[in-house]
Amino acid sequence: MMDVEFGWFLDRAPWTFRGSRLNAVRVGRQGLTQLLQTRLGITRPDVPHIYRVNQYAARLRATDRPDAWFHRSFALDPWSTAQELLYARDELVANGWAGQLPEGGSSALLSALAELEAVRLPLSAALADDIAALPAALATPLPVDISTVRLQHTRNQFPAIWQEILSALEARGTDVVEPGPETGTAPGITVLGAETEREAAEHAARWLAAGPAEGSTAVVTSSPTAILDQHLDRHGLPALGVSEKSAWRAQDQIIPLFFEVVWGPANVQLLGEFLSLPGTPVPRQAARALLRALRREPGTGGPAWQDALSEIASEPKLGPDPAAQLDALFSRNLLPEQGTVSGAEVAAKASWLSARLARLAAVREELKPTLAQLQDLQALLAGMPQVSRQDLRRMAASIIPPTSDPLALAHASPWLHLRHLNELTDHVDSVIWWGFQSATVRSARRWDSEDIAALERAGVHLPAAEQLAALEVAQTVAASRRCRRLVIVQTAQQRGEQSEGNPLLEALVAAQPDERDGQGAMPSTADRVAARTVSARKTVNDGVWSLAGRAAPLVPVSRAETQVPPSSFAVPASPHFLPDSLSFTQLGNLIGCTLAWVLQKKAGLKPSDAQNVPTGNAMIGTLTHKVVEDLHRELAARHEAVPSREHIGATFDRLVPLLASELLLPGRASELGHLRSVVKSSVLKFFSTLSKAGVVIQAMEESFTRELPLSVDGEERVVQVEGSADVVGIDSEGRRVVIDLKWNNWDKYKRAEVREGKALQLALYQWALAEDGGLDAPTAFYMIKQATFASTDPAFGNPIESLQSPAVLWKKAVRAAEFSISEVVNGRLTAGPLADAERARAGEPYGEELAEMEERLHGNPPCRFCHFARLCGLKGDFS
Amino acid sequence: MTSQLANVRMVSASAGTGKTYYLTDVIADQIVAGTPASGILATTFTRKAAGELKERIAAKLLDRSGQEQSSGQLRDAAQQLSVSLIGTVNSVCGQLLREYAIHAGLSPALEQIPEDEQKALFRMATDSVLSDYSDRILPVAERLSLATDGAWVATIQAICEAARTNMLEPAELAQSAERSWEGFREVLGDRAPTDCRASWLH
Repeated sequence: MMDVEFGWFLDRAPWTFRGSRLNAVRVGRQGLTQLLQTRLGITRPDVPHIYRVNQYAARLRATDRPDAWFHRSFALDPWSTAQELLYARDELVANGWAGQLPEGGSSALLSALAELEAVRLPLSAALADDIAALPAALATPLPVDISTVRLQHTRNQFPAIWQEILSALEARGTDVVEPGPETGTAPGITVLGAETEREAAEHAARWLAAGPAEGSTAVVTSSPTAILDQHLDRHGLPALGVSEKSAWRAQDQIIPLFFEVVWGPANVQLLGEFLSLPGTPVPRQAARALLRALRREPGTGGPAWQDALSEIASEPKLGPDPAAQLDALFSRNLLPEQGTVSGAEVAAKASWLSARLARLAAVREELKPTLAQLQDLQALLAGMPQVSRQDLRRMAASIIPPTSDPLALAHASPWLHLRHLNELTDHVDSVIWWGFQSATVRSARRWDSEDIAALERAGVHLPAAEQLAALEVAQTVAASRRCRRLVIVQTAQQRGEQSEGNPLLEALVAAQPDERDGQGAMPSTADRVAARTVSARKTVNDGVWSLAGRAAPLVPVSRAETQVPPSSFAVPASPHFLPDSLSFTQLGNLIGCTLAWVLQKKAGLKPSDAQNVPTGNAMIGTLTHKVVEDLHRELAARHEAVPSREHIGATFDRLVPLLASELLLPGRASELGHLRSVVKSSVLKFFSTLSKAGVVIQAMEESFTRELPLSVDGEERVVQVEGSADVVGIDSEGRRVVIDLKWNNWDKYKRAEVREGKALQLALYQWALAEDGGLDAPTAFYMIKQATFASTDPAFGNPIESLQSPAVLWKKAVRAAEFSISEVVNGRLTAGPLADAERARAGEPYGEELAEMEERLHGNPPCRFCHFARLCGLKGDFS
Repeated sequence: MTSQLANVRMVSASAGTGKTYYLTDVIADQIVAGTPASGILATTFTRKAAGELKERIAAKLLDRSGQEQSSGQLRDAAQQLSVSLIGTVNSVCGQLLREYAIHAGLSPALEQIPEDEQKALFRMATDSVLSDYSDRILPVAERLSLATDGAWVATIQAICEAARTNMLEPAELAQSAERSWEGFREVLGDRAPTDCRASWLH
C-alpha cells in the first residue's frame, strides 16, 4: 500500500529530502494522474503535442466559415490559432467539461469550443482528458492500493474536479489527510538587495560557503543560475546548473535552418550557417566545398556553385549522387516562396535530412532527439494537403522545445534544490531564494465571469485565476514556515534592464510575527520590508562580511591589473615567414600590420566560414564586377563598345540570383530596384566614358604574376607578386590602361589616394603589367556606386592633380615591403597602429612621418574590418 | 466631452507629494467595493515604476487588511495581484492583445517587436509599396541627397511613426503632405520659364 503526498505545486518537487522510504511518493496533479492510471490500467501511449494541434486544426477547418468567430485569426495563423483554442479546450476538459454548451448564454470562445468539440474528427487524449476520466475510472472495482493521500493544502483549495477525485479515493478506502493548522513559526527573513545579478551572486555564494557543516540548507532557484554557478565555483562549491531555456542551441537549429534553406529564394547567409553548424548534417567535405563557393559568389547556381558540385562529385567518398541531391535541395528545386505547397513535398525534402540524421545519430547520441523530432514532423507533414512557410515555422517551434544549455550541469550538492519555495515540504534550517523576482508567473486570464458562471450552472467548476494565484501565495507563505531563516535575493537590474519587484515579498513579510511598537502601532508593510532589507554594499564591517546569520572574514587580495597587450611580440627568428607570394591586399596588410599578416598567412587564423559569406558592399561589389565583365564579353563578341540600358538590366537580373541572392529575399525589393537603377546608369557611364576616350577594353580580370626582387637584410630575395586587374585596355596612343572597379559607400577616400599619390593598388598594376617597367600608363579607379572616376588622366573626366608620381610611390612601397619582411623573418611582429600610438605618446616620430623619414610607404591597415582587432587589443577596454 | 470623462478622476501634483499613495488607496477602496483582482488595471512607464507600484499596492492592501472590517477581501486581493494587469503600458497592452487576439482577428502568437528589429520589419511590411513607388521617389530623393543607402526609406519610416504617434488617419496625413508641399513651394519661389539644366551639365 502506498503513501502519497499530493499538492498542486508538487509536480516538480524533489521526491524526498529526508525520511526516504519505500512506497511513499510526492506528486503533483500530473504525477497523481499517472499513478492512478497505472494502478487502474488505463495508461495510453503519449501523443506528441503537435499531433493534437494538427488534429484540432482539422476541426477548425471543418467548422470554419467567413462569419466564424476565429475565422480571421485562423486565416492569418492557423497553427497558433488552433493551438490557443486547444489550450482553452484542455483547460475546460481538465475541470470536467464534457463538451456541451452551457445554457444561459455564453461567450464566443465557449460557443466555438462547444462547436469544435462536436466535430467528429479524431482528437488524441492529453493530460486534461486523463484527469477528466479519473472520476469514472475510480468507480471501477480495480484496486489502487493507496493507503493514504496526504494533502499539502486543504481540500477545498483544490479545483472541484480534484475534490471529486479525492472523494472517490476516499470512498474506496484511501485515507485522505488534510494538513493540520500550521504550527511552525515564520522564518527570520533577510532581503539581500543588490544592484546586479553578478553582485548578488557573489554574496549568495559567500552565504552558502559560510554555512555550517551541520544543518540543512535549501536553495530555491526561480531563474537561471549561470552567474551564481560561476561564483559558487570560485568558492569551491557545486554548481546548481539551472540554465536558460533557449531555442538557439546549435543542435536545435538543424531542423529550423534546414526548412529555411530549402525554401526559395536562396538565403545564402542562412545556408552558410547551416553548412557551418558544429554538427551540420551535410558531409563535411561537401559543406566545405559549398561554403567556399558561397564565399566566392554569395548566391547559388553560379560558376562557383557548379565548381563546388563538381568537386563533391569527384570526391571518392561522396560522388555524383550526393552532389545532385545537395544541388536539388539548396539550389535547383527550392520550394516556392509565395503560396503553399503540399505537406508531402515538404516531407520529401525532409527525407534527405532524416536519412542523414539517422546515419549520424548512430555515432552521435545527442542527435537522436533531433531525429525523433524530425520524424514526428515528417509524419505530420505527409498528411497535410497544404502547408505554408509560416505554418512550418510554427510547427517546428512547437516540436522543438527550447532546451537547456547542455554544458550547464548540476553537481551533487548537500543542499535541497527547489525551483519555488512552495515546493518545500521538509523542514530545513535555512533557505536562500535566487531569482525571487521571477518566481511568480502571471496566470492566463481566459475566461470572463459570465463564462465561469455559465459553466458553474452546467456543473463545471472552473477555478478562478484569483483562486489559483491566492493558493500559490498561501502555499509559499505556509512553506516558508518550514525553515528558520529565509534569505531572499533581489536585484535592481536583470540582464541590463530594471527589474520588477514581486509582491510575494509583502505577503511573506506580512505573515511575520506581530511587530507593534510600544504604543501598540503596527509599522506599515513597506517599513517592515525595509527593516529586513540589507544592501549588498553594507555587508562588510571591519573586514568581516556578514549576512543573515553567517559571516566570513575577508582577506584583501592584490588588485588584478589589467594588462594591455603589447604592441609587438618577439618570436624566434623565422625565415619561413618570408612570403611565398603577395597580392595587393597582402602587400597592404604586410606593410600596415605585420602581426595581422602573420596571424592570417602564417598562423592560419581565420573566422568561421559562415561569417565569410559576403554580404553588403562586398557582395554588391562582386556582383557589379561580374556585370561589367559579362557585358564586356558579350559586347566584344559583337564588336560593340557600349551596352544599352536594357542589356545592362538584363545582365544584372541574370546575375543577382547567382551572386547576390539575398537581395531577392522578402523586404529587399525596393533596395534591389534602387541598386538596379544605379547599376544601369553607372555601368552605362563607364562604357560610354571609355568609348569617348578612345579606350578599348582588351581584358577583364587579367591575371598577372611578376617577380619582385627585394633586398632583405642585405640579401637578395624574390617574391612573386600575383593578382588580377579588373579592366585592362589600350588607349588611342597605344598605352596600356588599367582600371580598378570599386563599390564603396564613399568615393572621397579613393579620390584622396589618387590626389596624395598613394594609390598603391594602381601603382602595383602599372608595375606588374608594364612590359617596359615604366609606371606611366593611365590608371583609374571607377566608383560604380557614385559613377565617378578617380584618375590623374584627363581621359576619365576631371583629372586629379597628384602629389606624388606612381614611380616614387612604388619605390617607397618596395622599401616598406623590405622593411616589413625583415621584421617578420627576424621575429618582430608588430600591430602597426598600436605601435604608432605608443610612439605618439612617447613624443617620438610615428606613422607617416616616421615612414617618410625612412623613405618607405606608411601602411594604413583596415583595422575596422580586421578579424584580429581583439587579439591585438585594439578593440579591448583596458581602462 | 464632459460626459465621456465623467468617470475619470485626474490627479495632478508635484513629484513626491503622494500620487501613487493616493492611487493605491483608490485601488484598495475598489477592492473593498467588490472589484476582483482581475478587474484592476494599472499602468506606468518603466519596469521599475511598475514593480514599485505592484509592491506598493500589495503593501497597501495588507496594511489596510489589518485595520479594516473587509480585511479578508483585502488580504485575498493582495494574494491575487498576479492576475491583475499591473505593468508598463507596453506589457499591459501586450497582454490584453494576447488575451483578446482571436477576438481582434489577430494571431495569438503575438510577440513584441524588439526595438532593433523594428526598422527591418517596417521595411519588410512596406517593401512592395516602396518598390512600386521607387521609380518616382528616387529622382526626388537623389536631388535631396536622400538616395544613398536608403535614407529616403528612413524618412518615410519617420513620417509613418510620427503619423501613428499623432493618430493621424491616412487622409489626414495626405492633407498634411499637401500643406507641407505648399509651404515648401512658397519657399522655392516661382518656377523659371525655361529649364536650362541640360545645358549647364554639358
